[in-house]
Amino acid sequence: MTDPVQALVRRVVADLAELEESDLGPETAFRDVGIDSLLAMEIAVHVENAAGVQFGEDDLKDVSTIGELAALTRHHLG
Amino acid sequence: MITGLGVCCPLGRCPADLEAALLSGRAGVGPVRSFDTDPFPTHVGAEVPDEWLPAARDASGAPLRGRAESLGVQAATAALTHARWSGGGALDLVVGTTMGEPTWVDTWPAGRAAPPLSDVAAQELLLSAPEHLADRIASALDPVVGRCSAAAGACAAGNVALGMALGRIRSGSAQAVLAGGVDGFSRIAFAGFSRLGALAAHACRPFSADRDGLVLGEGAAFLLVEEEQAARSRGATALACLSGSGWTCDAYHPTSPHPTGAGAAAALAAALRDAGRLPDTVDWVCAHGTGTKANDSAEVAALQAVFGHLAAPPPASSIKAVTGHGLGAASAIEAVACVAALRSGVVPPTWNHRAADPACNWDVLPNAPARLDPQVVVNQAYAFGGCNAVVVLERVQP
Amino acid sequence: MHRFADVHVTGAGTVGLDPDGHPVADDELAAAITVRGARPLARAARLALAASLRALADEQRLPDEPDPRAAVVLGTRGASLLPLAEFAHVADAQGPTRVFPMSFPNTVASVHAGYLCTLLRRSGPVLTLCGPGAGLEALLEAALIVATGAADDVLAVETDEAVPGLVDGVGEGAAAVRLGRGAGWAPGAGGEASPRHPPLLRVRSIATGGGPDELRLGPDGPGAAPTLQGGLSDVARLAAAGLPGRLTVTGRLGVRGSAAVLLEPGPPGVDAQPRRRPSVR
Repeated sequence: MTDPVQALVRRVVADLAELEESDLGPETAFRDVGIDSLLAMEIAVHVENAAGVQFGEDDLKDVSTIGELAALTRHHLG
Repeated sequence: MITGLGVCCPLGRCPADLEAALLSGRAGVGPVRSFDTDPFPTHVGAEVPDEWLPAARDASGAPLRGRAESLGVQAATAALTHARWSGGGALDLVVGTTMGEPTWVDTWPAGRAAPPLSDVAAQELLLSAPEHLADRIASALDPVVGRCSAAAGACAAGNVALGMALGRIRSGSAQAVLAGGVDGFSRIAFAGFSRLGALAAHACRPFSADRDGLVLGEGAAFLLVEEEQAARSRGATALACLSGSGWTCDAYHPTSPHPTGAGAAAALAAALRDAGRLPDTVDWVCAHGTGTKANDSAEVAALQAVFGHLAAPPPASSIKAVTGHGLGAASAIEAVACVAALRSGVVPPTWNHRAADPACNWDVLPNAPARLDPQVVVNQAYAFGGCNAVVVLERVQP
Repeated sequence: MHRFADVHVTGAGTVGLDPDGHPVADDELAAAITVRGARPLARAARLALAASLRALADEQRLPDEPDPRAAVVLGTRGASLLPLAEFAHVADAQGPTRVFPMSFPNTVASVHAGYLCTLLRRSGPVLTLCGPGAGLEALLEAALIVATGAADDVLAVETDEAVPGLVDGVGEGAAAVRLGRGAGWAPGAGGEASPRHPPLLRVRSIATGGGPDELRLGPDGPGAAPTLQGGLSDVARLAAAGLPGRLTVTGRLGVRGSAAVLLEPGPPGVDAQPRRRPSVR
């Protein structure tokens, strides 16, 4: 069963980074697929808007994989 | 040949005031006054005194004179006065800018930006374009202006305008070009740089280990560039020589410089080649030095690539510590500072420097001016899109 | 007046510019953009990219490393205007701390040329000019870059999307003219010069003035040939259609000014291979 939050994050990443969703899994590190800090910030904002959440200033510091971003999003969804 | 200077920036409205501030460390940075910075994590900027700016809109709210236009007209007029330009032949005008005239969109009431744009909004949007800013400055200088160009060059616009001027003088298509850069303090620019994480919390500390970003500023500066014989025959005073220009693109990233500074080094090398100068002839580098982590280390990497092999490489200082980052005006203001340094022999330091950074291993003249008596200086600037522009300026006998 | 010994049009491409004012269809634009990484680009930059790729159609592939001898000069009137309005709208509607970080660069008119350089692997000079005559000014600056040796291969591009009140009549679009040096010379994918397809046109001279009355058209300058009022997109179309003889294109230059561009049919190439027809409508 697909986790909808993870699916949303994968979709946003695939769209913004011009990657295939099928190449992205929870362990995929942003750095490994050519996502720099600016694009990562952009991805975070798009995920915030799509999920209706707001990340805190320091929330994204330790987020470096798709799974971690999905977990952070799930956390803010409460 | 540079025969006139005009400047309007947080440190002053004439070259002498600018130079005095650069050598004394009087900073133009303070709490932002133009708009409410409450939503943002930072609250400092470098703005010109309010009394230098006339009202932007009239009583009915219609656009009157934008902030960038006010700054640009003051600096351009001052340059022509300083040059004792009396006309007798049309002048080319080249205006470099980042944002054009953001005053109108900055001051839109809530809801005006929502699509579809109303006629009023569309009209004011058109007035925001760089070409409109250039046209307004040209109109203020009428009738002396012939050709007028608007160079969108972001944070390198001043150097781009100077490079265009040099090309026209050399090719004979113009005898005199008034070239410079303009940008007004803008809420949109503040928001944009803030969202990129580029703004410093309190102060601009170029090359310092604890630097944390740029301080947004504003301003305008123009230099009159003339063909040498034409200048001498009208009795103009030669202030400095604009001897070379180099442009490159990093082709790497929209907002971050290439970490090795490769594009910046190539622009510097191209400018020196264009000036017919070897690296060992350069006495001082007027750095881009915005105070961001990425820029300053990439810039030092570029300096190392071009000058690192020398026994006595030229020191580099960034005046943005006290001027703030004037965006399109920055490299033009810096060119005025270069002319001042060539004439006085004293170069401004990098103020606010607190701790050396191993990633910025260069003599950045921290916190104290130096009497270097420079003969050849380079002014470097890097912009969004990886656009790099460097000019070479040289001392002339008066 | 600038006289050029060795400046040639080696490629041309356009997209849109429909005389009836129709916008460029999304699928046409998507199909014309054959490189990855275009997602952050503003619409006017995408149009410029599409036209540029058509002008580069003879290239087998883009170089892996950026070419320091290749350059871009872009002319536009409003490439950043709608991005600016969009930025202001999001800041207004959702708060200034909610705007997308990558939407800010597109509000700066010079970033589009930077994107073109990045995606087309060009690390030589880059320049952006604004104004109603920015297209011809881009052509002039591009020709000067080739003539002075600052680069060997320069794309002069004019672009605009449909901004309300900006362009009357003609639809949004872009035109790209590729300038190079020498008869039949073009950079190879590895950066070395090699004889390639014959150039389409030769740029003989460009006269400039503060206004149309100031153009100094001498006997061997632009005044010597039949004249067409136009801009960069007309030069692109002429490059595709071919010229039977000399022709002068006159038009606005920059913000204030006029230019007259004297064009000639291209000289026969060293290696006269059949070339693909440039994609110009």
